[in-house]
Amino acid sequence: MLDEGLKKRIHNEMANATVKILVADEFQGSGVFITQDGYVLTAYHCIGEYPPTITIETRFGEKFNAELDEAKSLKHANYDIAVLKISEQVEHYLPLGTISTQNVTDDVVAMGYPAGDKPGHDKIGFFFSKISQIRADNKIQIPDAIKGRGQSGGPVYHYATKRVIGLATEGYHQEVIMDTGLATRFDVLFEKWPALEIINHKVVQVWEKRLLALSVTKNEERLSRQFFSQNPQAKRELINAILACPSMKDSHQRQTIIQQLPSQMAENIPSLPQARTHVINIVDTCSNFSGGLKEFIEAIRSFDDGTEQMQVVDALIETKF
Amino acid sequence: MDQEQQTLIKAYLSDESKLYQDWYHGLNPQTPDPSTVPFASLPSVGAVKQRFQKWVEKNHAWLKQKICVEWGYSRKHEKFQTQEMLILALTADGLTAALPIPSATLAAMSILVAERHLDKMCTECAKE
Repeated sequence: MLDEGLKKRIHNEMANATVKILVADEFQGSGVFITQDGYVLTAYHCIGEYPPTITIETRFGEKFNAELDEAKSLKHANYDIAVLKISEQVEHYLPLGTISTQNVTDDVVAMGYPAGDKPGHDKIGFFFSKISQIRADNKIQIPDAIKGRGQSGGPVYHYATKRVIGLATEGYHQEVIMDTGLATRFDVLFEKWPALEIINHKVVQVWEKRLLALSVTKNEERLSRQFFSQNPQAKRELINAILACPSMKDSHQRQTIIQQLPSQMAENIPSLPQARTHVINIVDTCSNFSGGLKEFIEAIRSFDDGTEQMQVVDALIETKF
Repeated sequence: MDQEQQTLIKAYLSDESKLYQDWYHGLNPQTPDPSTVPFASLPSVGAVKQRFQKWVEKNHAWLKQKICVEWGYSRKHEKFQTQEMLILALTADGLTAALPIPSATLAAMSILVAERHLDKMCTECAKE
């Protein structure tokens, strides 16, 4: 189960890879970067036949000219996918995946720019839901997440597989099914573009690393004054575990460890003879700085690496923070 | 003369927006499932005009051969008193059926005439 903070960071990463698609300088729909070298997917009907110019706009306002790769694109009724390419390298991109009927009821988030051409709707939207069915025509049916014109081509991310599993393409008429949309799947894209399997595998590896880095950041955020003020028990446990470390028992060693910290932190920590008072003081000061407590713990490790007490500190951080 | 076609051409010539939107939708069919609607934004008439221009450029050689050379546009077009009659004549001679697009051929022919694409194209052709 992902905690809310980590989910937000993942959503932010996904939003960075989600783009607006403009044809003839007019907003048409949404899209997503899928490789570092600038491949973008969107719904084919966002591009259409004889597009005069295609532009990709990121959430940071950067604009890139794009070319439609007809050979890789799918104009099929059930697979509505345009493959676009820009000539720049990009920092944010997402891996693709496929799902089966066993994934029905799984959690997903759909992203994009519904009503993106209307004033006040130029920011990316996140819409959380569950897969309600895989239709006979292979489209993924999702209630309450595919909201309106402009979202076509936006990615649908599946939390369980950690992949983008479809692109929003259409919505039911309100009199048929209320507020429910469809997404096109990638199975046939992988068949039409065989190299995509290898390309995507590399993207998967990058994404897995990115997710790991995001969850490490989670610890850093939690090792903060704000977290401690809401969780005093966790703070006490951490102080006790640090106090048990051999280096913390000696005031000179504590001082040496403090000297390893960045000067803005070290200068704010007084030298105190009593170990518990001193450690509480260090923890309080370090928790005021982003990543400060993590730096303190790494400094302790330089003395106590491999000890049982250090392992207790690591286990505590891993499980409680 | 097909009354339905005549009415549609009249509507096209008096409503530029309908003319271009019909051409666009003919070129880019809606979802095959009638219970759903695609969620792309609808392009403005200006954007569809640019798309039409691209279509003309891509099919320039074909249009020139069929309409300027084989149909003899430069010789014939002045015989028709109205654009509507000209479009109908072009249509009646089977040219729309042979246009290199799957549908909305009547709209395409109407734009070619109304926007004077054929005047320009066939004048150039006659000079060559």
